[in-house]
Amino acid sequence: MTILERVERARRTLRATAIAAAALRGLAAALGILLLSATVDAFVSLPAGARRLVPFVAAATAIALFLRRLSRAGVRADAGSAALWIEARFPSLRYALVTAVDPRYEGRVPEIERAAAQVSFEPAVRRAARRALTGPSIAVAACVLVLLVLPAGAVARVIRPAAGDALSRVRAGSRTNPLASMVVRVSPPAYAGLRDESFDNPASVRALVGSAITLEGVAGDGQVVATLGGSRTSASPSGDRWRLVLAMPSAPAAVRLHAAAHERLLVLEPVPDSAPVVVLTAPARDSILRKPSGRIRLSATASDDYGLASGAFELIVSSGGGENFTFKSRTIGAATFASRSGELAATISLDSIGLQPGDMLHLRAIVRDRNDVTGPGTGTSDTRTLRIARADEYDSVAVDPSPPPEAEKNALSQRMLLMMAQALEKKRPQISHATLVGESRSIALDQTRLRKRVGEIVFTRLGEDTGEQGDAVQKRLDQQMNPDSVLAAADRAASAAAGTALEGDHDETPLLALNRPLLEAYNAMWSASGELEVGEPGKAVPFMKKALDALQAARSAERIYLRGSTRAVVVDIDRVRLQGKDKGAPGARTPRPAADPSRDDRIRRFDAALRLVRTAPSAAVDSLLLLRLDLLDRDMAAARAIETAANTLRGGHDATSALIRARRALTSVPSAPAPLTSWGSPP
Amino acid sequence: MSDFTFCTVQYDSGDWDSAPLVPANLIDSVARYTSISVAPTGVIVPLGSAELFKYPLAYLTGHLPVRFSELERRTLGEYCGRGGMLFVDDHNHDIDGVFHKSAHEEIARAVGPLKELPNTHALYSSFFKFDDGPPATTHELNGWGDNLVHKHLLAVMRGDRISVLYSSKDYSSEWGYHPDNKRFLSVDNTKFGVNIVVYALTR
Amino acid sequence: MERALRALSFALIAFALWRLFTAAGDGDVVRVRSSSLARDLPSIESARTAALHVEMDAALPPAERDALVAVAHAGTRVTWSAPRATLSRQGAAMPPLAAVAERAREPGGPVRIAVTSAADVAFSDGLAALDTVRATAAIRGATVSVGEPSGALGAVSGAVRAFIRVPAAAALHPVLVVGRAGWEAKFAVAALEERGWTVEARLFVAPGADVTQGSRGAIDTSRYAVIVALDTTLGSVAASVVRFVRQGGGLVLLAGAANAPAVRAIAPARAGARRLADVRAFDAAEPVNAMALYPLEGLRGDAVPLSTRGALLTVAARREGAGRVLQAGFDETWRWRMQGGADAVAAHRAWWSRMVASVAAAPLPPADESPAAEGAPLARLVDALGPAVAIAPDASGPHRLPGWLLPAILLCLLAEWASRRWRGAR
Repeated sequence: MTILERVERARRTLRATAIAAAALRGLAAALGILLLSATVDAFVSLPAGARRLVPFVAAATAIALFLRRLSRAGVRADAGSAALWIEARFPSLRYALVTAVDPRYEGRVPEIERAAAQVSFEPAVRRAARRALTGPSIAVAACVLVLLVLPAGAVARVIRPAAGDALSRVRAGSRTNPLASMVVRVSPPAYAGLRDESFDNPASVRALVGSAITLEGVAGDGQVVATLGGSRTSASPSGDRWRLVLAMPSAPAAVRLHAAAHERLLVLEPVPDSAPVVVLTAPARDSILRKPSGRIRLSATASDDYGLASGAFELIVSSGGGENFTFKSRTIGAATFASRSGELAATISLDSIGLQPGDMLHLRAIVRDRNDVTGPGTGTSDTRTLRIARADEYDSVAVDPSPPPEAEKNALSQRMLLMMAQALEKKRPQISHATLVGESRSIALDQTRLRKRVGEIVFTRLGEDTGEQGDAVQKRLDQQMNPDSVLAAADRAASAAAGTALEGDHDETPLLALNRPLLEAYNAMWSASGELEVGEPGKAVPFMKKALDALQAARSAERIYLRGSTRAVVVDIDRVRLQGKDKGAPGARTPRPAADPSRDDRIRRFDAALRLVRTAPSAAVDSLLLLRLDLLDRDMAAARAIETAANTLRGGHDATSALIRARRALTSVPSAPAPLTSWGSPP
Repeated sequence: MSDFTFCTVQYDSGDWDSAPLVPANLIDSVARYTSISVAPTGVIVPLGSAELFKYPLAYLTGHLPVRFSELERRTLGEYCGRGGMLFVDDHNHDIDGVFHKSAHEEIARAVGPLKELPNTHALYSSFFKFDDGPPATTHELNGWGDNLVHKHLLAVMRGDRISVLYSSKDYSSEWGYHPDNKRFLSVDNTKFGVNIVVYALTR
Repeated sequence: MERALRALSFALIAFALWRLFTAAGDGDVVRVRSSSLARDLPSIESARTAALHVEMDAALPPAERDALVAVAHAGTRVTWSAPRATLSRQGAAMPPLAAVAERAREPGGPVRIAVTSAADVAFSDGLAALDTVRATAAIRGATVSVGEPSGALGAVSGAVRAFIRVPAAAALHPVLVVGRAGWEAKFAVAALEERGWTVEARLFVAPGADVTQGSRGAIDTSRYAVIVALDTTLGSVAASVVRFVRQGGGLVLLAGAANAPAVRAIAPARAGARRLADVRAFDAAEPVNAMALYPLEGLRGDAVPLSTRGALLTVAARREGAGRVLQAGFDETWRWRMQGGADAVAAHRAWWSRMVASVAAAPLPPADESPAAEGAPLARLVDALGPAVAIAPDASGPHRLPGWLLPAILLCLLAEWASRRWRGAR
């Protein structure tokens, strides 16, 4: 083997040794970090976040150290460097080896090569390699040995930290406190589609109502029993551990765990499942339709916090008016969902529903969520109302949203006649007399027909309906009485004392009531008809206005159901004041309870917890957590302040300022914002 | 200033104005039997309006389905929370009808569930004495409609105070006539309305 | 030179030892700290020291202060000084501190502490700290409201500690509310009851038909603390209200109630014509601005105006005999509860409770002779032992070494060592 080959072999050996030594040093550093972390964690439980960082820190340290060592060993990259390394250990070579491996002198100085070849430097290279590798190897071995000696699970906690691995630090034993370390696993209901979560030693657990709460700890002194509400549940053994399963209740509650003389408290805070939110996007607003035909598109969007199940549109058809309504309901557009949001769409054919003029169609969307624990939550949208207008509403400028009753129709017609008469009077100069009289008589004919209809309901008799009476009046009018005599009879009836039964003729039954406003309208219409008959629409207009006013008054006096704005009845308070025949005898009033009757009790409980802070801090924490439970529904600000104080105490930190804030939140008394000066007291 | 102004609630979904004469009739009765300073006319206030809070007693009736918008629901909840009282009367004299079901649902969402009010409640002795609970209406006794007498009113209670009073007895029809026509009645059937007003004003 | 430095160091050390072991002679002042006074007092008393100086490095309890007074009376000259170290932000180590507490005369009402101090004041009770008041250059006093204290209530400012006497909660009689049945009556009674007051009511509904709560017994101060008149309808109360107030009862006149004939003679003013509010919304800071008002007119000479709205007087009060009358011209205060902001219900309750509490008749709490209660400790200390004295810079005592001595010794030793090292010797 030539000297060059020998040096090359030495170079490779040295290079490999440097790489291996650097790797071993890096590995030792990484193992050292793991060892240190595991040891610290064995005594002081490191947070999960810190433990997750440990492998990364160890790996980064190892790589950094490896690269640094490697860069320092880079001088041995070529044969010349290796020759220099050998020369440093064999000074007798007097740089013969360096010259021998120099390519410029290759084969030209055989005596130098012979001199260099006589030196056996391979053993030195081997010794150097052994020395370089021994230290790091021992360090690595020592770290591995110590890691193996550590308690089971200690290494796993730093290599693969996971929520819920607190128990791996604890050893089972007959004298250990089984409640000292506890892992809580929350399994939400299947419908929510959420993953299970684990918590190490929590003081409180927030989870969806119905979640399975599994408590697990290491077996020790005594059996673990949980008391929740009034029920007790014993833990079941599971290897060297105990396990207990509870269901998250619908209201906040505290679970008390007992094991021999040990106690622990866990607060359960339920998260309610909200009902779906539904928005009806089409139709966008209420409407009035002329005809019950055509198709209407329905659409709605829905969303839920955990998932939708199904939805549909609900239709209710209201038919009728006044006091008589009938209702039909149905659902359409049913759909199922598989996500947290969705849309409903449908189209309804108004023809198929069988709507009639005057009917109302109420539409809304209803969506249910997937909650199969506390029952499906139901969300509903706003309701849209579609009304089908009646035919006789079309000539009204503003269509009232309900069918007008008799008097209302009369008023509309009287108004139309009035407008026609006024229009005729206005165009009188432009038309001939014959045309004027013809049109005026046409209006008079309509006026007469209207007057007859009013006459049907002017009188109300006992035992008869108005229709018969109306015919009787008209018959008498036509056959026996002239307008003046009818008017005179009506005047007599109108001037009769209120409440006096008006006797009829012969076999007519007594009048029960006289509709005076309508009578006035009837009279006015008669006068108007007369003027119109002789072609004097201008002179008829005042009578027609009077008739219209009277009809308005009649509408207010009657028990008629009207839509839209009604004319308010003004009660004459002074006239009726204390005119009632009966006297009242009011019963005694009972006092209202104080707004917050348990406030003083809560303050006392807080003070009691404060007294325990120095002597029994864990008991103080439990007392504060229970107090917080009572405040969750009542005073969230105070509940949060108390939770902060309790958590600070649990962490072993100084909780003075947190407790001050909690106390202030609990005892604060609302002050009057417009303070009255403390008269006689310091301001 | 009047101590009491009768307020009718206007809501979007139904025929809120189906009993336009009830306000005047009850105003008349309050003036006839008490010295309470009462406004001679009632007011109509939209349910979702802030104006509602000016009238701590409000009246709601109708025949058609009751569907509150989100604003109306929130307003009603706040109104009852501050001490307001809503009197709801089903203008249909039927049982378990559309108004009844929908009103129950909406009131439960806005304020709370309706529960039976005992016939010994202070409401029945707040001014006149009604030893048998809520007085029956003619619609309950005339043989048509459902031919049933609703023995109890329902209420949402806030503590021991009525927050929402619900009636299926159709007092809206019973009291829906011009006050001048009281003279034709041998027994004034609006006295229970006086009890409702006096209860609201004093409890 | 090294020998000289060595000799000088030894001399100084000997001098220090001589000073330390020299017994106090007659005429020397014994100096103690207040923090250790309890431990040193027995020896001081038995030694019959001629002069004693106390350095106040901690609050001096009243018992120890009284002990010093006794020592002074026995012939020892007692002086004191504030601590050198600045213990407060304002630089006054012993700021004058005075605090007094009064209990609001309402159920569950706060304890109001009025305090004045040149420095920050920290309040605490037997359990924990309660609150801290920061003193500023402009404001040297404050009123603090705290909940019911548990144990002794104390205030600490610098080295001064005050023990504040808290009056016992008075047993309050019921409030009687009279007026017409209406929203004001409903919500006024509700506000007071929800706040914890016991309320009796007589609400006029119709002639011979009142809604009552409570008994209809005699109107006197053994049964009622306050009468609240919501309007001019006083009914059967009218005949007794003046006598009730003169005997010590409280009377609140709302809106136009002051114009009732029965109370005109004792009302602070008459109620003018009703005016509407200038604003419509109930502002959280000044909600009364949105209320209708019967302005107070013709204020009596002995009445105290308490609140105004612009040029209009809204609230006034006066004493009548042993009682007090408060007149507030606001009308329809119930609108604040119904139409106000998010906190209106609680604020309305608090306002009504405060109004009633300001005139409520309550028996005086028994005088507290406990020596532990001391609201102005610095004032008591000065009163007992005279003002603080400045510490003389050259004052020395048997137990005190001059401040320069130890540095001088160290300097000499250091110089001697440096000289040797410079020379190269060990």
